[in-house]
Amino acid sequence: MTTAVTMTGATPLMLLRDLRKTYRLRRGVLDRLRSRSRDVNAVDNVTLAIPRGIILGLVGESGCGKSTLARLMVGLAQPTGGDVVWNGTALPALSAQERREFRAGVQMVFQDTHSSLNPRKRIRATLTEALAAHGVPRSERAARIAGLLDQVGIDPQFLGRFPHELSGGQRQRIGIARALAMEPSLLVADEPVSSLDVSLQGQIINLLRELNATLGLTIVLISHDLAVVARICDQVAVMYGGQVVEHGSPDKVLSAPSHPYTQALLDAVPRGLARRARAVLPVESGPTETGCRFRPRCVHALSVCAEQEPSLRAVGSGHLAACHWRQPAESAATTNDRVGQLTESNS
Amino acid sequence: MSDQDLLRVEGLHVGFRAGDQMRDVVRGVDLRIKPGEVVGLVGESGSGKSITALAVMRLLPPGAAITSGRVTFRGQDLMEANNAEMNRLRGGAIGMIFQDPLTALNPALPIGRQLGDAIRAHQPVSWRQAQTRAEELLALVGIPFPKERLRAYPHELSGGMRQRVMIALAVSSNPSLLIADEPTTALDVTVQAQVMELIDRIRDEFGIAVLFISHNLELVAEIADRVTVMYAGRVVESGGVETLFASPNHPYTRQLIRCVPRLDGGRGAMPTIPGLPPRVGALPMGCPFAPRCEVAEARCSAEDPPMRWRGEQMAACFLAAS
Repeated sequence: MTTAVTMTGATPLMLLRDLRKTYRLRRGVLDRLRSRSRDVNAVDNVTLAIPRGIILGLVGESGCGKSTLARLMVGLAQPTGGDVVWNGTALPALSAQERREFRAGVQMVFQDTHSSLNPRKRIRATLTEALAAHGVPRSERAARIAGLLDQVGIDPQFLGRFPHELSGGQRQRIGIARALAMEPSLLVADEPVSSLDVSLQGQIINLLRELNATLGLTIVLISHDLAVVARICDQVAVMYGGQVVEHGSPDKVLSAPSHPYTQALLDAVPRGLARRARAVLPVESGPTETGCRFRPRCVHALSVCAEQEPSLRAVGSGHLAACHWRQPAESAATTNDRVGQLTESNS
Repeated sequence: MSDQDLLRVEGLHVGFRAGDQMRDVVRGVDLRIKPGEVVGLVGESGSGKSITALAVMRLLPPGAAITSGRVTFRGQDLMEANNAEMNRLRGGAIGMIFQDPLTALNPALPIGRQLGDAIRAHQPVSWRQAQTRAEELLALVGIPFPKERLRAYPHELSGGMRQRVMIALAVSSNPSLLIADEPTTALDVTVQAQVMELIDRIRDEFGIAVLFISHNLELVAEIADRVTVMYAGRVVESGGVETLFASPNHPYTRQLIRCVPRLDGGRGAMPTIPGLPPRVGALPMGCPFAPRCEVAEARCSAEDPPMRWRGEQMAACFLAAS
C-alpha cells in the first residue's frame, strides 16, 4: 500500500490518497418522499502528502472543502472514498494501539475559542481533563500543566479562571495548550487567528511557528490570509470545489501562481494605498457538470476546459497545478508520481 | 468651512451603565465628513468605533447612552431630534450596512417585500412603483435576474449577494451618507473585492459620503479619503489617507501598520504589539496606549497626551512630530 511513498525514502507523516467526502442534501419533505436528493462532493479526490516537520497552508474560499478536509485528517469525519494514511498505514488498518496513538497524535485547534472551550470549566480543569485522557498519572499533571502554560506563554495565575475571563488571544493559547497536552505530531489549526485583532494575530502565528521549530510539530494551517501563509508555511495547497488545484512552496504558488484561481485570490487581497484596479472575479455560478470546476469564472478558459477535468500535474519543480491552460494536453501523472514528487521536493 | 460638513461629531462620550455609574467606552471623539467624502474609521475590537456609529444614529444598545458631545447632520443637531425625525433619517438620508447581512434582513420575508417596505417608508409611491424601483436597485447592485430575485428569501442568497441586497436597501432612498460597519468582514476575499468595487461605484455615481468602519487597514487605505484611528475609546490619529499611512505620526498607528501581514512581507516571525488593549473600567492613567507603546516616556503614563497637528494630520501623542 505504501510503495509509492517508500520508493522515495521518506514516509510522510500523513498521506491523503484519493480522498472523497460526499454529503447528501435532502431538500424537503416532498423530495424525500420522491427519494430525490443531491450529493455534494465536499472533498473530491484529494491526494496530498504531509511530510514530517513542515507547516502546510491550506487556502481557499468558504465552501471549498478545506474544513471538511481538516475534519477528515483528524478523524472527525469518515471518508466516502480513499484513505487517510497515518505513518504509512491507512486508518482502517490501524491496530487498536496504533489507533490510540493516532487519536492523540493528531490534534485540532479551532477558530472559535468561545465554543471550543467548555465555558463552565476552569482552565485548570480543561487541561487536567486532556492530560487524564492522555494517561498522564495524577501526580505528574500539575508539573505538566506548568510546562504547557510555559510553552504557550500563559501566566499560571489564569489556571483558576473561566474561558470568558480571558481575552480571545489567551483563549486560543489555552486551545493550543490543550492540543499539546496529547503530545501530538500533527496539529491541524482551522483559522486559528481570524477572530483575533490584527495586533494580536502575530502572537499566535509566532507561537505556532515556534512550536514547529522547537518541537518539530507538523502543522496544517487553514487560513484565508494568504500573507500569513506566505510568511510561515513551507507548502501551500489551494483548494477549489473540493479539489486541490495548486500545490507547492509559497515562493512558487503565491509568487508565481500557475492556476488562474490562485491568481484571482491574490488579486483580491486588498493592497492599501496601492489601490490596484480591482480585478474582480465573476460571481460564483452553479456547479459544473463536466470539465474544470473553475471554468465558468476563469478568464483563460479553453474549449478543452469544458470537456476534460484537469488533473494536478507538475508545472515546475515541486510545483503542481490542475489547469489545462498552463499545462496543455499531456498524459496525467499517476497518483503515485504526484506523491513521490512532493515527498522528494521536501526531503 | 465647518458649514460644509455633512456630519460633524464633536467631543462625543458614550457610557455603559455599570452598577450605578457610567463607564465611558467612547471618550471624546471628533469626526467630520464632507459631502461625497469617504472617511475610514479604524480600530481594533473594543476601540469604540462601532459604538460611535451607533451613537450617531441614536441606535445604542440598552444600558448605553451618550453622556456628552454633539452630533450634527446637515446642520441639524441629532441629539435634539425627536424619534420621528430620527426615523426619517435612518434609512432615509443616512443608509446603513452591517457586517452580517443575514441578521440585518428579515429571514421570513422575500427581499422584494423588504425593499418595497423600505422604499415606501421614505417615499410616497405605490406598491407597484416600489417593486419596479426595487428591481432597478437590485440590478444597480449587480444582482443577476433582479425580477426573479425579488421573490427570493435571504437564506437563498450567498453572503455576497445578501450584502448587495443590504446596499440596495441602504441606497433605496438616495441617502447622502452611508454608514458601513465592517461590511466585508464576513465575506471571502474575492467577494470582498466585489463588494468594495460596488461601494466605490455607488459613491462615484451618486456622490454619497461614506463612513467606512473596519479593522482592516489595507481595505480602509484602499477606499478612504481621510482616516480616523481609534484606540480605547479615543481618536489617537486622524488625517488624509496618503499621509496617515505613508507617515503615521502616532506610535499606535505606526505599530499597527507594521502588524498587517503583507504578501511581500518576506518570511519569519510576524511583528506584533505586546500586551493587550486596556479593559473598560481599567484604563491606565495618561495615554491609553502607553503600556504597549515602544517609545513611551514617563509623562505618557501620567498625563493625557496633547493633540499635535502636522498640517491636516492630528496625533494625540507627546512624541508626535508637529
